[in-house]
Amino acid sequence: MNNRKKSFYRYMIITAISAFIGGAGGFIAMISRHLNWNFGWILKLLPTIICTLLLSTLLIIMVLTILKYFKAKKLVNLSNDEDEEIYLLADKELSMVSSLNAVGSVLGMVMMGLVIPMMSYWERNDSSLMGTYSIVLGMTTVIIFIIYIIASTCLQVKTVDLIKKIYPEKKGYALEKKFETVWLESADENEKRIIGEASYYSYRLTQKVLSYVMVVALFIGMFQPDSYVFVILIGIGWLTQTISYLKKVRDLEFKKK
Amino acid sequence: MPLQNKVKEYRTAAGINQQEFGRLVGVSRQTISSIECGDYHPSVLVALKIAKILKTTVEDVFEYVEDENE
Repeated sequence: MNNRKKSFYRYMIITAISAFIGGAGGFIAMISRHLNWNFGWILKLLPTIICTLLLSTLLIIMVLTILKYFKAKKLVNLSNDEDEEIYLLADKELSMVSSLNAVGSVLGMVMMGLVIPMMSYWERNDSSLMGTYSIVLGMTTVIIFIIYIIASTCLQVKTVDLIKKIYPEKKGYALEKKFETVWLESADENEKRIIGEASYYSYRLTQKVLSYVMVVALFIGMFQPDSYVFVILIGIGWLTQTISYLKKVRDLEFKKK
Repeated sequence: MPLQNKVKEYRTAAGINQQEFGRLVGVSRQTISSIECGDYHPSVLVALKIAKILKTTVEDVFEYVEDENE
């Protein structure tokens, strides 16, 4: 069997399985409403569990980022024009600091998004041990988040300064409004190629992930009809990503700046 | 890699470090390192600049080698 046929059959099988899962989900959702099954408690408990996991992860990331930053700083200070190996090590550490900082900021924002509804739910509905834990967790999370954002911003400024120390041609101040634009303008052709390839990879992966997330949101909507807002939010994110990518490609193809 | 280069040999012979060489060519030190390792094939403009700074020709620094598998 050639590749074309194999791909076609695989596509048909995946479509059939997806249709079956969708149909089964819809059927179960219909029955659950007739039998008054209530999955609400899972959705109410999830923010507390996720928040606990996110807070622990954020604390680990915060410590790791600081440690990596000091390691990178030491390597940058040790670097000299004759030793190319130290430059390479410093590059790797600085890249890790920036990556950890970026991931930590996103995790922090997700965590904050969960904290407010979690706290208001438990405050209104429950004074049990779980409720008290959730309220204390929520307040701790807010404090840790504020500390993290301040530390993360300071680290970002310091990291950019370190990068500029070993790449004097780089321009931009981390806190200025057009930092990303200025930074990209000071990149050479190899860096622009890397940014381009990484952006396309990220575009393809996000398209795939968003389609799965949308399916999950549709399933949640079957059991919790008032959660249609997830579908709208994911839809906005998906459309923004698709339209912005395609628009930029067209602009670049047809030389529009 | 179908494109091989002798940038490192010519650069070290000229006594220029990566940082300084990158500044002369107008690219970063990291890009010079990527070119020397063969991870990145520079544009014609950068290849011409490299050859000019090393006082040689592009053909001397960069060599296209036919891939036998192709």
